[in-house]
Amino acid sequence: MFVALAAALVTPRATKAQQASDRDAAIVAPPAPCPTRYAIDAALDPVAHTVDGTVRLHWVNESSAPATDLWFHLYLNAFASNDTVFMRESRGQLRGVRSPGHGGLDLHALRTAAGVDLLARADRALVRGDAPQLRVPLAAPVAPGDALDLVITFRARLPPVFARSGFARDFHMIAQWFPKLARREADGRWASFPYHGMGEFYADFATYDLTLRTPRGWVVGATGAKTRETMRGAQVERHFHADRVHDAAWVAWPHFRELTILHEGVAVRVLHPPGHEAVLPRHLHAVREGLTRFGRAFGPYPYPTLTVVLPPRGAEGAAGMEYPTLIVSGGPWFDVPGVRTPFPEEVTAHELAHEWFYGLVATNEVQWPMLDEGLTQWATTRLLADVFGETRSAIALPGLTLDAFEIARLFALRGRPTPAPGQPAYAFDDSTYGRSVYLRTALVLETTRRTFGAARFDRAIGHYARAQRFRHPVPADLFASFDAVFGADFSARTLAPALLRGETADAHLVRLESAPDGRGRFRTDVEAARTGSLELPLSLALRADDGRTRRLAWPPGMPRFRATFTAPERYTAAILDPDRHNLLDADALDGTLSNRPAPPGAFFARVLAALQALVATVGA
Amino acid sequence: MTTSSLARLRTAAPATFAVYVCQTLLALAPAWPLARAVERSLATHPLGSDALDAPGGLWRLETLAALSDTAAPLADVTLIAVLLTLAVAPLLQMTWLAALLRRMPLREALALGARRYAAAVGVSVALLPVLLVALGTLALVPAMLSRLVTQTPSDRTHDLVVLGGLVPGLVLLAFWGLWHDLARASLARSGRSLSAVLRGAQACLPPRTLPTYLGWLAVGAFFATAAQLLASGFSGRGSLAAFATLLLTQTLGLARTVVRARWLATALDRVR
Repeated sequence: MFVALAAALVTPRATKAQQASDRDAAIVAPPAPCPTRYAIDAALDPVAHTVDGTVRLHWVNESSAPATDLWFHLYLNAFASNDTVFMRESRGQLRGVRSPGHGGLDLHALRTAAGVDLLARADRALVRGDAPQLRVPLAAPVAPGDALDLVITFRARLPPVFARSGFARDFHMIAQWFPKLARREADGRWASFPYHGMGEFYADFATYDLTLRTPRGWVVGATGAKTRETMRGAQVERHFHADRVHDAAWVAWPHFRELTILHEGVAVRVLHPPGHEAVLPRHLHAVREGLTRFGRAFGPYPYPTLTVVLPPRGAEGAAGMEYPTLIVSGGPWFDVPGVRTPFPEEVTAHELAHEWFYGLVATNEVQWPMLDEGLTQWATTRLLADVFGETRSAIALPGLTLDAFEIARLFALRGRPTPAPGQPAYAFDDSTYGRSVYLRTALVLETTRRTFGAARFDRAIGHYARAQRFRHPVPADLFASFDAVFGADFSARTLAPALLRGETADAHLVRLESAPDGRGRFRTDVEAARTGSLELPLSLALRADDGRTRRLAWPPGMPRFRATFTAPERYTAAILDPDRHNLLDADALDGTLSNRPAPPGAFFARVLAALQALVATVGA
Repeated sequence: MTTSSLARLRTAAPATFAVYVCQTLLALAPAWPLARAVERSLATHPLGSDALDAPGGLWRLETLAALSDTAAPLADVTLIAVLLTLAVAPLLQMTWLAALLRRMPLREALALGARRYAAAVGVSVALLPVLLVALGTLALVPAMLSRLVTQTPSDRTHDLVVLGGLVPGLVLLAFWGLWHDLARASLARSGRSLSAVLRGAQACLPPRTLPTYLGWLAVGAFFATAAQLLASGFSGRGSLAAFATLLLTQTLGLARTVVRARWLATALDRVR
């Protein structure tokens, strides 16, 4: 009977799960070739730090409106002078690395396949003092579904690397290096914007064929899979092919060491400076865990290759960046056994997570950076917590462990207020972008997961990632996935206020009293209040003198909570949210109350011993 | 280990203990308000400051954030304690050396120490250029090597070379520390002029004495590190555990002071 009951209970769920799995399988089918295709032939001059190339672009108008013009991004021009939008907004630095020089992207020709010159009529000065965008009026509109073939010749002048692209001595990170079409939305609008100080890139999926030439002896990594390599005199010509990606980048350095492993059908190629061998297992651990766990959560990684680049010292500006099928990590060359620090796993895992939230789910990062960096940050921290344990997710040293989500809470919610994470990238500066877009989004998602159930949350975000694969979703699509799992209006009540308006769930304990009631029992009165406008279900744990505990539920919709009860035991301590579900509360200390003086701790002894040693060193 | 050094150590036991007490009092000046501030921030927590050891560091982080509001007064107290330590250090060392030199009441040793206070400060001032050269070497040699090996593609090679560049500075720093101790020992022993004690100390400098000095320095560092590691690793909670931790760390602290006394006794034997 038990078996029958179990079967009756389990079968419908199993069937549902099977159906969901079939649906997902259809959603995450291997990438098919895109109608739009870039064939780029390029040669690196490592002495002049330039790349000369030709783009043969076959563009298909996949929107519903005729195209009368084309919008290109020439993002290397963001480094052309100190007056560009990027340089002004970033104040000439990125993540503390300052701009040491300039670069740019020069177009020599832009013609149709029939030889009609389009460059002469192009509009370069769309933003005063800045030329990272180019509007090219067309002689005749391109109807929906029709194609246009263009030939563009260009020279990329790489800047000294400080913001993703550029060179450091003979190391070259070649990104945002060719004229690339902006994303044309379904309604025919071009989603074009200058290269901003905050936020990154947005483009359409396309097929890329790269032919890259470097001097002999150089090691090259690039977006896509290498299809052939040919010697041409003193040069080596390599061909890379990638389907359904929305950017292509490459890296070239003669000193790279190389390691390739195969994991779940993906050839993972690590390009690293000599001397980094000791730390490679940590990078590979993060990659293996990421490919497996992200694949399970968000749909499998669909490409045959993944290149992980560790840039050498001096090229830190290139580190911590994602491109389709190519990620640039970073961190030290040494590994101390038994010590876990945020580097290198966190960077590698973060950039790998971008292969889903950027690479596959290709949101507009300037308009909705939280959908890119925020979801990636959550996925990374969740991965670290799953792999290393919640309390060891950030740091694990002898005598000290730190929880990455709690550190994120401290940085995101304390100090100077930040705009809500759902704002466009240009609403932030470099002191608020990371705290809000990365950390606060991660906290909102993790709080949702812990408060409303991990299994349902994972289903919702998994649905979003799978359904929006090879698409360009907006927050409404994320919210729709959550509403589909948690019920209508869930996002309107929870996710939207937290993400779009920056609401928090601050709450604190007001009082705890427990006194004899005159009949040999104790009357306990506990009160708590919310100060944040986001009303999450919370719980309180009370602890009695004799060690017994009691849980009380504080449902949403109650700005104040009060409970009075009589019990044989006296309750002297209370903790709000003892399971740490609510990470949207800036102050956890005001969620603790104790009516008993705390026992003296060992902290004083430790501090005294440390300072005594210091005094002895300075003094006698 | 010579009999003479051991005898000096026994003779100066009260002075050694007095130095330990003085160092403890100087350390208490910032340690007490810091510990009180931590305890206050965790006053509502049922575990008190033991919550700092909770896995994941939640309460450590919360306390750190809460303490940032009270950091300014704590910094003031710490600065005063550092200045006081620097001011008292010559007196303590000269008193200690006097007591190690021959059996005498603590009060007499203190009087002797006070009389030689100015000369002890003179030793520090006279050797200040050596200290500055040592610190300069410590900062400049690695920086220069870093620039020289900038072309190497291996970060590991670069870092190992730069780390190697710390060695000359550290040797010079040890040389300064040794000379400083020997000069003050010579001053305690002979009471001669500053130039005479510096010359006397110089005569005992490496290679003869440096290994002995570094050996005792390492033993002292071992006790200090052990105190921190044992205190951090102590998993008990409550008053008894706190008392046991205090007892343990203070025992190791006292041992560290005795090790220092042992070296100073050796220094007195070495100088003329």
